[in-house]
Amino acid sequence: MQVKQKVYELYKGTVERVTGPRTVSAFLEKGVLSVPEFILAGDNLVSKCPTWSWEAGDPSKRKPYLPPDKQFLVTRNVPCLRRAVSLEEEYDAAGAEVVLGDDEDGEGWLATHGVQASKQEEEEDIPSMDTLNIGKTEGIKSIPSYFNAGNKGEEEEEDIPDMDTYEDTGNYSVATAQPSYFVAEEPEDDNILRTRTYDVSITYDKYYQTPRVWLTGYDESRMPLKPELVFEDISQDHARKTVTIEDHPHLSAGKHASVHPCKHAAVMKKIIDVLMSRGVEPEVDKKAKDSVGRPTKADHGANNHSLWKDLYMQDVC
Amino acid sequence: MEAAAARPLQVAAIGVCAETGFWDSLRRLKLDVLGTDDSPIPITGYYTPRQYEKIASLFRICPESILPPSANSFGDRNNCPVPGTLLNTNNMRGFQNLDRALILRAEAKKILHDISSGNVEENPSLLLRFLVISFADLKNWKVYYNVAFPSLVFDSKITLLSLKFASSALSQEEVTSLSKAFIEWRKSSETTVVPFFLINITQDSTATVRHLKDWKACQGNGQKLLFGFYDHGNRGFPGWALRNYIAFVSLRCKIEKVQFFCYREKRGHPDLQQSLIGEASFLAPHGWDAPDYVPEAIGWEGETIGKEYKEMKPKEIDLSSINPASQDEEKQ
Repeated sequence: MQVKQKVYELYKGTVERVTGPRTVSAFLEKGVLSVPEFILAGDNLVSKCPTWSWEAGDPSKRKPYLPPDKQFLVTRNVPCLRRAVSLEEEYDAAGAEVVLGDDEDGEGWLATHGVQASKQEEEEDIPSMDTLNIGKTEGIKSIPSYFNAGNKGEEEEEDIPDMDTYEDTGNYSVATAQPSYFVAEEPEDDNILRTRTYDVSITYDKYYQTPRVWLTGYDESRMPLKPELVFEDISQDHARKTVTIEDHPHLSAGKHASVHPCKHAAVMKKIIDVLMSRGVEPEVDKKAKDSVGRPTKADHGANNHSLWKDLYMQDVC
Repeated sequence: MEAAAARPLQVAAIGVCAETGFWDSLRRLKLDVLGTDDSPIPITGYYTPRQYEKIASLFRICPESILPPSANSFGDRNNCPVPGTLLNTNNMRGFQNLDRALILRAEAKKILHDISSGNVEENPSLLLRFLVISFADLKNWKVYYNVAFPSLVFDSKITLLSLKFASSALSQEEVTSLSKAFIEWRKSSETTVVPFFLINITQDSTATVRHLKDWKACQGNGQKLLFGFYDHGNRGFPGWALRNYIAFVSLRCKIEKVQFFCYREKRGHPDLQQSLIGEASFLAPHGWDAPDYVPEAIGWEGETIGKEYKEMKPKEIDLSSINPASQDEEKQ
């Protein structure tokens, strides 16, 4: 396995060195992204979703075909409140998939949970990566709802917490005997204890001519998460298959989980075709105005790469 | 939510994420340049206001951190550069024998000096100055470390008079105007990395965000003046940064009561629903303006009241993932 991967990386590296970067758009024909399109889409992501930034990364790993200060995109400290395994259990318990009603923009999302389960999620208002469950269509719902904040402003379902509940953590009383300062500890809330965080980055894969998503995990005490623990946050159907642990192309240290880009362009092409058949011409830096393609259960690849679609087609904010 | 009575001010500690990449940079610096030289190294940390509702934002120490802010061009709205000091010892005994109380006070002294000299007005992030002590056990690919955010201790308690969510403390017009002003402040690459600022609200509800150095011009004209800062926290406590900020207000502005604004974001946009507005009162500390005064300080991460510093457990990070030898082993 390891040797095979090594040989493959060597091959890929050689091809990348001898071929020039794509400069002409083939987005509509093949679902791939040229370098200028990647930068355009990235600029748009950064301006609409300001938790994302362009970064230069390790200077020794700089790719000459990308601007020095725009080597890759990153957003950090994204909370992941529950493990994928527990979500999958819930998924099984909840049963059927449901299509969430189209909203005003004409967007509908396929939810893997029953109605009850999705209600519960709204209450929790889990911001973003609940979860990194790339495999299940759950991911389709949660990631866009994260990005949606960009143009929808305050979300209506927002549950504004009451200040009283903050103080009802039991820690408060501890402080009375202490001096004028207080180091507010996290409450011993089950939810908080299980909160891992992830740095999510998007790089440009020159070989596949597509963006590539990377995940760097941290545990509850903000220490780097071992790769095998990262897999707890990825559906078991995809861990070690479409999601693998590799060296990051722009960061020097540590191993990072990544969604393998091999099927990305094909899936993009499928989505583009659906859009085109509905009379919508997708653009890399514009939000599709009409409905987006709804991956079905049969379209397993699309489920897998729905995350990409959102990031890449700028259906992100 | 409505604060019942005045109470001692409590603040939320800052959590640190020291990335593997930072220790790798230190490893390389030590092997290539430092050798056994264990003098303090000026470094840069990265601070950001809270970005997601559920969790506080973290203070980042990353590969770029190995350089001081003066030699480091990295910084953006999600990474406000803050100066810090790294003390890396050559062995475990050296690490354990560091006088944590003393070095913390020395850093606090720098903060006090920066306040009284006016440096803070020019570069407000000096108020967030941090300290890292470490023993990089390169033979075994392990690092033991602790981080502190030195905070000046007042003679008497700081009293919190009120604390409210910004949206309930301000009128709707003020909220709208202030949101706009924040979006501008965060948009400009020059101001977005400045974590302390002033908020001026006129009688016709127009809000502006201004540089800290304008505090004299903003005072006493009947307008509302709030001392704002990027708050890393996500709960009903102001963030740690407020403590040194109050020291600044006390020492420079010579006032004994301050209205402060804890700025928080939601997914990168101003969140005035969960930003906090509060009022605190305090007595001017004695002796701070004497040139040789060394202030009392607190701020070690994980520090608990009443425990000796020596009992403080070091954090431990395993670097074996960047050890080329271990990667070869894996492959066989």
